[in-house]
Amino acid sequence: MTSSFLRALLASTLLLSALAAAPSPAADMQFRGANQNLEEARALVAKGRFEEALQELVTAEQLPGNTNRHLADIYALRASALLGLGPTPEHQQLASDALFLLWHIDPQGSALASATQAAKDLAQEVRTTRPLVLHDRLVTVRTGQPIRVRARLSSAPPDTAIYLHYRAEADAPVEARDVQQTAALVDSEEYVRVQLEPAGGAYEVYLRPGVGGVPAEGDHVLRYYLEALAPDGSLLDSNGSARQPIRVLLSQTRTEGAGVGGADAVLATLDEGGKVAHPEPPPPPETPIYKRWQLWAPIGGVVVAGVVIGLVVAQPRPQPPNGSLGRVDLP
Amino acid sequence: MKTHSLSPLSSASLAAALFGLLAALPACKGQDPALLLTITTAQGTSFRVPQDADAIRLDIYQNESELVTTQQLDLDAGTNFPYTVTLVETGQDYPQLKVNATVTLQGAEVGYGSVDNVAMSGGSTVDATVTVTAQ
Repeated sequence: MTSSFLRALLASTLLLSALAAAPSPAADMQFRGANQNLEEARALVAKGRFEEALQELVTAEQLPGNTNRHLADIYALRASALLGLGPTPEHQQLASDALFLLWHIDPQGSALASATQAAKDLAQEVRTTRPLVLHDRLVTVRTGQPIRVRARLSSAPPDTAIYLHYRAEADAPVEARDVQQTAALVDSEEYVRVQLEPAGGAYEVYLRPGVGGVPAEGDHVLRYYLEALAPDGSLLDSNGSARQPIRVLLSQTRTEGAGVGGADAVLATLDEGGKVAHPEPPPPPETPIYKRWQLWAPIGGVVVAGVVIGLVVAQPRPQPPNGSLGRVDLP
Repeated sequence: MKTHSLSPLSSASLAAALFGLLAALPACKGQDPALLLTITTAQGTSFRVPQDADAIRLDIYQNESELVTTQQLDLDAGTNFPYTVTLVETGQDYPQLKVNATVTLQGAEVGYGSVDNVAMSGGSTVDATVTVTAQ
């Protein structure tokens, strides 16, 4: 495979990955199963068939509903496959870009567990040389509770500031949401900007319900991104962007979640006191009709009554005593 | 949904009640209306069986004139009056019965008696007596 083809292939996939880096919460919830192409690519990387793995990863990335976890795995495997093809500068650069995306959605680097050693080494190099806004992306948050947005900086100069840009809108069907997203792209100034405050080696800010356009109840979509600005105002890094914001569902019913585990993970410390925000237990499954006593009680009553009536009818009538000459039945 | 189940005590109580109900079922059903008819002889009359009598014929009427049935009852040798026979109402109602009892010897009438205005009662056996006199 030629380098130009590789470049075109990976450029297109990087563009698609940027578009898919902020999957909608609805899509997140819909796609919980394994991404078969991703699993195939994982197997191909393990076998050293890197070109085929890259092709599988292109397909895997294009599948709708990829979770943050899926995307992080895709980036880790892509870097592994690229580096496996040979340590050319071009491959190094493309792998660095993939790992840069990985750090944005997987700040713990948990997806690197399935990466090759070369990819792991390069990932550490990227993290230590490029300014990064590390952030566990929110996926689902309980409406009505303060939302804590927390981030860390890696390889950033001192006095770097992190700003949160957010906007909330009512949860809407997918088609309407796309229209709203398009509107958001046109007018990025509608984002509210707040600065994250230093907090124990990290930065954080709370969005309080009913304040600054943060919904206090109902289901909504919150779009946001984080920017790290140098003291001179220059942009060092952005986790999400105005054009491709991170989307989080504000829900009164769904389980909270964040990070590569998405809503499958319990989201800790959303409350100001650092308490775990326990999700409400799901409602018990509805009892099937054939297990309800309301069905069987009347049936049982009818059966018992039928048995009693049948026994009454079947009982022989008591007979009068016969005389010494016997008995005469009158017709 | 919460399931509802009976405690063992409640189940035992329910079972006991059900068995009690079943045990009481026969009592709920009364017997057919019946008449225990005693056939006796008038004072001073006697029939030796089989020298003087060998059978009794019963002619049973409803409302005096509607014949319901006629029955021939053979008498066993060595038995003596009074005899009893049970009339059981198995079909229609007979609110007013008349029973003619004829004592016969080889088909010839040797005695006769009758009882009238006998009403059967549901669930019990009523008694009636017919007295036969020699002819």
